Amino acid sequence: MFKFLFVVLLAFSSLHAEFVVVANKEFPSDKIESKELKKLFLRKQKFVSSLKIVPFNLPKSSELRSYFENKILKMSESSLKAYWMQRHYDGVRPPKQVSSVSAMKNYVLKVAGAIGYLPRNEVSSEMKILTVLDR
Amino acid sequence: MVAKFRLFFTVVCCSISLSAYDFGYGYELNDNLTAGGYLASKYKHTPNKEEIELDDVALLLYGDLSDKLSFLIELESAGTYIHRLDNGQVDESLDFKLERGYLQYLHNDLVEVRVGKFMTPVGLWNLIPIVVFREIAQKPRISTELFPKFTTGLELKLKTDTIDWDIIAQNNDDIDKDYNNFHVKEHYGVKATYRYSNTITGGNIGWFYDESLALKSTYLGWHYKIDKEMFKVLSEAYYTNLKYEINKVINGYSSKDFDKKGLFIQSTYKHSHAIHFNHRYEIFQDEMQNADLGYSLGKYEHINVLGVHYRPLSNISLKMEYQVSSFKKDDEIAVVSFSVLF
Repeated sequence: MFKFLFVVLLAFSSLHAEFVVVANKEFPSDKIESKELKKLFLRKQKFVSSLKIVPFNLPKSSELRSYFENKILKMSESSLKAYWMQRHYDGVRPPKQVSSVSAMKNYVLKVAGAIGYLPRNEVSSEMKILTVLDR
Repeated sequence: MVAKFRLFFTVVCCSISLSAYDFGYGYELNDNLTAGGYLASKYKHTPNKEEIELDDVALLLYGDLSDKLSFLIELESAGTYIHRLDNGQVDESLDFKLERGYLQYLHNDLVEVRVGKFMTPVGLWNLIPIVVFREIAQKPRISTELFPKFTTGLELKLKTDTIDWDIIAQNNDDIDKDYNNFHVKEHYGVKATYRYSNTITGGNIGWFYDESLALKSTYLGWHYKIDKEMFKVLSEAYYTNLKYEINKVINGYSSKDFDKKGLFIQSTYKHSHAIHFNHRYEIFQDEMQNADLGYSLGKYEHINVLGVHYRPLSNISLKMEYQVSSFKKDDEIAVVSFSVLF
């Protein structure tokens, strides 16, 4: 019984964990609106000020990525697939996909213009938190 | 020919088997270089002929040369394999032509310049040049006869808060000029596009000179698209004035000056993500065709296409459609089309 309650509580707490949109410290702004974030992750916008932005995604299987795509991009999986196929034909690549949360941290720390998303407890002090999103 | 096919499919199959390949999104050769391609084939039945065709075989290569400079090359072989089922005739030709090839300089998110060969930014249909992306495989007549499909020159793209502008200029021969619907020597045009919510609308104006036909032409266009969860409507209308340098004599009618105009409305009902039902109605007036057929110059042709579009995967398209025209028996066409994007 206690074991069951523990599992339920753990699942509940992970569902309501905060996650944050983070960027490399050279990112020219301290915050970002959802609209601009969407444009950056759909590669409709490529610069902030004069800095070329490099968005990163977690793997397709990541729950955090699904949540981010639903909340920020507001597109279904099929619409997103169709969108990136059209963009492939236009010569535009989707955001780079990293293999894990720790890889995301490394890229955001090292690549100027990098932007991604992480669970709040994974954020490093050398990154910029641009916005906080509740799950 | 067979050896060329084998080589092409070996390249395609090898790229599919590589781990960096994501089916439908291209193969990333490295961080800055991506390869892809597409195939389109169809079975076509008209009152006079029945054929299967490997219509388009294309290779795509693009990448970034720096933060602001990128390039794209698309090579296409059209009419690669045609087998006439009614008389057994077979035509094969794997002859790649440059469909698009340009350098693109992105000054910032509001200003972009392209130099090279690109799709003429006219309306919306002309910018969906491959069957796999289209709802209906058969092209509307107004998309192929009223303005050059490709431009070899300069394109300036400007974005404002409300309107996107495309300005084009060409003052030279086309690259692979036989691969365009006109042999363009000069071409200038402007397109304005306004987007709001799920709707896109806008217009075009342009002028071009076809040296081989001794033809100067001015075109005007309008386009509209609304894309909702359950339905989609695409509509375009064009008017073109064709001015020949010498009189054209067609079926006893003589003039230097002819008009073509038309409008189509294409409606899509999205039964599901995979299955769409489509209908397109097109009304078209071609004074040269009317003179040739002995009709009054102002007579309108009505073309209807009804079709179903099935996508088993996002990058694979299977279409079945039937087209009828009020003018020509030849334009009564049944098509089954299969296309895939790599």
